[in-house]
Amino acid sequence: MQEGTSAEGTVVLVVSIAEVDQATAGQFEAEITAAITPPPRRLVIDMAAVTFLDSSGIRVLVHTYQAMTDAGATMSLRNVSGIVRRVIEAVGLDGVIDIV
Amino acid sequence: MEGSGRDAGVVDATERLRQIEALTDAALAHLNVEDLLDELLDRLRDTLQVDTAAVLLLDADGSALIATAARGIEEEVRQGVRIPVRKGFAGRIAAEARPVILDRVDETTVANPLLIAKGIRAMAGVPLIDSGELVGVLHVGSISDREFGTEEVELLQMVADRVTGATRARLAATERDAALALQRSLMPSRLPEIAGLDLAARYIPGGGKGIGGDWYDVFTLSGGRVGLVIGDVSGHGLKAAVVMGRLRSALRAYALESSDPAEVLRRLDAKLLHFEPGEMATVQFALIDPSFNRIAVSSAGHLPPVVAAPGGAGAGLADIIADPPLGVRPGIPRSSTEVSLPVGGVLCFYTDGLIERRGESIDTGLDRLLQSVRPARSEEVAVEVMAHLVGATMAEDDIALLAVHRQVEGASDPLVLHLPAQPDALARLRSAARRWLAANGAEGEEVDEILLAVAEASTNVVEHAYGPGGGELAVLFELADGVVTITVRDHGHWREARGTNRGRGLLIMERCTDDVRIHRDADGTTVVLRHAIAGEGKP
Amino acid sequence: MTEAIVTTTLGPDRTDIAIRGEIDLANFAAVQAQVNQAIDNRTIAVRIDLTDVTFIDSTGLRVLFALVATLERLQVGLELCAPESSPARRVIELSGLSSLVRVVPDGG
Repeated sequence: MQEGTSAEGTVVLVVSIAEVDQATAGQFEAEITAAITPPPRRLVIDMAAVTFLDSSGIRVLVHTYQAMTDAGATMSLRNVSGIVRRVIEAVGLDGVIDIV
Repeated sequence: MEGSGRDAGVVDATERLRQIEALTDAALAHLNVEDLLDELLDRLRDTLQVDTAAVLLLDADGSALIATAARGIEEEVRQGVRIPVRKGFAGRIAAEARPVILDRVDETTVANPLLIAKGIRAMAGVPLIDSGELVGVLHVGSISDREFGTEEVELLQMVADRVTGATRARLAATERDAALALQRSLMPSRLPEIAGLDLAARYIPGGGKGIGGDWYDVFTLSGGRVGLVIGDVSGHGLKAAVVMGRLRSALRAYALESSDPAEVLRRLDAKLLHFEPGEMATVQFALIDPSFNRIAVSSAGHLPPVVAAPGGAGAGLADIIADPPLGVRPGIPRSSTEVSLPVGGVLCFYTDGLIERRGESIDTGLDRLLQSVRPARSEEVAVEVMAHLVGATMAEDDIALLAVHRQVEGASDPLVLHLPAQPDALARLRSAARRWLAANGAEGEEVDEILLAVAEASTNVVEHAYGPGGGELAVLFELADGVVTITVRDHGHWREARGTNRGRGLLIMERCTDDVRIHRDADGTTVVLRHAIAGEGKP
Repeated sequence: MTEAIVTTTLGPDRTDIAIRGEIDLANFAAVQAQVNQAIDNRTIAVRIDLTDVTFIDSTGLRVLFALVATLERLQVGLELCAPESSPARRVIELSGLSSLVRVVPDGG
């Protein structure tokens, strides 16, 4: 579910999926792709509803991060729960992906 | 009986009739309805020297005739000819329930253009009557001009009676078989296996009808939630069963989209009112959260479920709001009530057929039910309930019963799961793992880390262990001396990850647990994860 | 009984599976089993050659759709080979399968 595009070209995407794993990663990717088409200057992914995210979800986040960076845009995550923070740390992306 | 010299076509009518009679005797019981009708119609064509013969049967709601068998004009059946009662030739015979002869075949006398296309110029038809009820029409047609006399019409009627008699039993049996098959396909064939819940159910269609409008349903939803349904469509037999099937299917669809049971029943109500006006049903839909600590129930006119908690207090009726049944009128507000099912407790859903008996108040039946439910294994509960409430007498109304027992997950009891190595198994694994970890004193970040590690190991099996034929995944959780050991086993052959941005699974496993060991051998791969937890396992 | 013959050729980078004959309700399960058997998790890519499929209906399509989903999960490449206006090609296009998987016109 997308919250909207502000005048400065920021898109806030509120993820609707509770658990992102191999089965639901495709859906997660589809939600993000829809939010960045057309590409905004800033993407904020609200992870409040996400209670689980594994390497399949990390893959989608990394792919999105690369796409945004290539387009000269920025991406950040907000409302990140403990388990999601933990997996981002475990794969060494806590310094790379912006968590607000 | 002497043959009439007038009609050269009815040569040896008595002999022919004997042949036709011979066709319908028990010796030919092995012929199915279609072949039997074809034979009868062929003999009829010979006897009466006509070109076409056809049988049309009345459809289920009695409004149209459907071509069921035809010789000389097979197109009638192949092309699904339907004649509304009162329309055309066959329709007129059905409406008036008496023989009709046509000496002119055109748009004014017949509704079926195939008859005209065939070049038929004369027709005779008779009604098929079974126990005073019209069930269809038998007609014959001739491409050459001819007349049909009284004797021929009588012969036609005699054959019609034979047709009715012969097909009656077979069609009833076929219909009943079809209804049973439909019903069987509508009942859950096996209750799903849900770690931590023990389920049992009973379904007894009432009055010897074989099928009815009661149902129960259990299904898992995303994130480890569990849906439970009990329902009762008004009416009996096939019609109620068909409505039941649609409700069951639609409820599942709405449950995928909404996590509020009241909303699910609101939508179901709207659907029933729109597509099936006049039908009514009582339904209860319960949604259990993944921890099993909270159950939200919405009830549409259905009797409250029974709850029996361990501790000796006895069983009681759950205190839930009862909204009106489905199908009453649009816009009825609905709500959900929270029910709690303690560990070791039993929740019992049922339909009114279980407790209603003639000559008895409903409270008597309810009391009897409350006395039969205890916090025990659900199969034992089901057996006791059925024994005390049904006994040896056949119930008139359908009975459905669904018993749910929340298993005691003792601390230090290992958890064993066998799952297909498919993506949808991962959510079930995580829910079971969360409950076991909680029961064994793991908290906060420990739970997160163990969950992440187990998830990666299992996902690897799903993605890398087997070919498209699939395989099994076995997971064992154990706790000893403050250390959780999880063993993930498959009997496939692990392959490396492919593509970009992959291969982080092992990294996550290593970073999130104290120890990871992977053994590969000819029989498969075993991953053993170990992680210390601070909480003691509860005694 | 409907006839379909499944022939497998294992190459270093790709497994070629050719299906010849008809696929319908009577034999789809057998065809699916044979195709699945020809693929294991070490397979890198699969090409299913449907050039000599003379009849394929919705049941046969289901086998193909299922294969698309499974091989995606297993990270095995998949392409279908069906010449223009062959029976298989038409059915693949009309069913929307061609939007999910690469379809090549010939075995080249």
